[in-house]
Amino acid sequence: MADGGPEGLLVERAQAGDRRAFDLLVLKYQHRLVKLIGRYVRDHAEVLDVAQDSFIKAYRALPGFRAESAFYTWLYRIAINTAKNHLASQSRRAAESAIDVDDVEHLVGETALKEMATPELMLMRDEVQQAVMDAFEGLPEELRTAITLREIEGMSYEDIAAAMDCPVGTVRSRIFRARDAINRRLEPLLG
Amino acid sequence: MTPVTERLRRLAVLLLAVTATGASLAAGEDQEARHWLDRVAYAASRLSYDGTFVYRNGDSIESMRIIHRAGAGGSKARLVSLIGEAREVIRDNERVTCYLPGSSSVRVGKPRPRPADGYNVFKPRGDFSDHYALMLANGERVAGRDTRLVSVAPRDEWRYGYRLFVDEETGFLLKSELVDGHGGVLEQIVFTRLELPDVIPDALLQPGVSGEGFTWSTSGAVPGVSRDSRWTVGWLPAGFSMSDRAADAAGAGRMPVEHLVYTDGLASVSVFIEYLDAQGEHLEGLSRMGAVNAYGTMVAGFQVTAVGEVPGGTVERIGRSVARR
Amino acid sequence: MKDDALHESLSALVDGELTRAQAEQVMDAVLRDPALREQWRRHHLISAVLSGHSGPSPGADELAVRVAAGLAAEPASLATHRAPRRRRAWVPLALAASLTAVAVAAGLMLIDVRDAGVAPRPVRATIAGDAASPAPARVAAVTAPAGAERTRMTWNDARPAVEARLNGYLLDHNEYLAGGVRGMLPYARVVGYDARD
Repeated sequence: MADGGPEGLLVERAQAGDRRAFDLLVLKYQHRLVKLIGRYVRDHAEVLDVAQDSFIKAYRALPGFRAESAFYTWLYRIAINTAKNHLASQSRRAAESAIDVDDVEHLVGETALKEMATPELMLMRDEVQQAVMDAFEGLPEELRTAITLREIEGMSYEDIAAAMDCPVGTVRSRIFRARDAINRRLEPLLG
Repeated sequence: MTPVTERLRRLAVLLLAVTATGASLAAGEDQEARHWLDRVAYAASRLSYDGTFVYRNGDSIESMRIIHRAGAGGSKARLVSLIGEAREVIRDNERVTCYLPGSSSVRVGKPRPRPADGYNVFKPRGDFSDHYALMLANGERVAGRDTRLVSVAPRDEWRYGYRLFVDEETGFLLKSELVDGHGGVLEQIVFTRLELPDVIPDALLQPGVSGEGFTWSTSGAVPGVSRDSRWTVGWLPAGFSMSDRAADAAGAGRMPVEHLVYTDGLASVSVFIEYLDAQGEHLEGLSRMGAVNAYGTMVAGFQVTAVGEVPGGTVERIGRSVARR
Repeated sequence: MKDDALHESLSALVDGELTRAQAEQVMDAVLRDPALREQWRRHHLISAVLSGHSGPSPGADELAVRVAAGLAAEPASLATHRAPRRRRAWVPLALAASLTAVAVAAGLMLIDVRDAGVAPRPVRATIAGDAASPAPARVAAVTAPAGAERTRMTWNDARPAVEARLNGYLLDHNEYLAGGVRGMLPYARVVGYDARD
């Protein structure tokens, strides 16, 4: 799987003291982490507090991180522990069907687990999400296929090239153009 | 034309050639092809699997994950969309539940009864060969596995064809295409990953959404429906016969919808008959969503709709032949 | 043009498709340039939405700022200062045969990729776990088939009441699909159809 992305580089630099590198890691994982913590903690403001704590704890624990294991899994463990401690300190029990730390290894896509977010948050699809989905669905077919195979299937450019019967350079360009098009749709919201 | 399209075109010509000359295959090959289809049905219900596939319908593309646990007490399966918010369907012996976060709704229905051993055998009826020509060939590698290709070519213009790429080792259907008369692919499912674990943990078959705050509705048959129908379907393509009849709950404020199902063993057409009040917007004519065509018309205040993965001409002719006794 | 090439390199970086040397260069640029940091942020936001990892989360974007502020308060000595680790061999994930003309100018990296008209090579048909496949074969392209009508995943009837009714019929119809050959796959239509209005 082509997920040997740039984390390795970033983790190295962060371990060497580069905080901006860690910042990029935060940007990479923040959405997933917030969603994960949301399974334990209902109040959204608290979720963000716990997320912030988790990242800071992770930064402090970086020296002890061994590059051989997956950064992602390691970060998740920290987040789950932080969430549980938070609930404990508020004398609340973790939700029954929340995942255990040991389950993190077996996390095969978070759709396997029950959502614990509040109903309002769950039903609400915010503007940004909507804009991304609208832009995605408006993409010309070859761009949409390319980005689907990359983002959803995690296929490497080489495998996508085989699947789409085109050169690797074309795959790279299509994925970039797909992202660019979606970006442009986000501009008025985030720009 | 890309090499693949060229291959498809050549295959289409081949398929048409078979139907045009009415050539009947050597009994042995037909038998062998049926054996492969048998394996497909067996694998789908008897194996436990966890796979990811890409689903194309028209020019829409989706990626989904399917988890299936076979078991002595009946099977359980879960299908999840992987793009955007998770839409999912979970099916066990008791019910089918569809979670649709986009419309904040959950739809629950009874699953169609399956044979006790869960083995829904594809039993082509005696006249199957009259309507479809089966061919066997070497398939391409899909999800890293070798496959055999079972081509199912319709012998007339009222049906679609299928190209089924079957895993040689397990019989699992790794790639399936619904093709029209020109060899165009209307619907395609391609697995990109397949695992066959011994055990499927419960957690994988739980829904990813809780459905809290959603609108729950039921679908499926309404009990106590009279066996006599006031409706007749005057025309069907050769080889089609009725396989089911039910009254489906249509949702709040609507009367039950009569639902007649016809099949030739491979393709299915449903005829729905629903009473519409005067203000109801109705479908008149053909509509289409990728592989599925629908034809609607009004008969004596009822909306008659024929729906199926058959050509538009077929649902139209069927729909037009529906009459009230 | 220079900008575009760099943005495209960033896109490839996010996907892990650059060589180690290239990745280092582009990473340096991202760490220095706020506009590129923003691109990085957006790529991951888009990725999170598409892969369903993002719930509606007002405020998650401020998170990085809060974390950075929190870290600024950390004593510097906590970040262990190590000698830079010996570079491990970077596994090139996608050395396209068509890569040409790599130019480095003023700290920016321009990657000029030309489609050299090289015929696609047969590769493994898929991903994950399939380390040794003996006879690699071509995977059929997922492209628009010739002659197939282009339709979106909706009925080609714009009236919502009609569409809703047809969708209900489709759900019921899919229950009865014959043959058992397709198993749960008929439900793919249900799941694939986006029920958003």
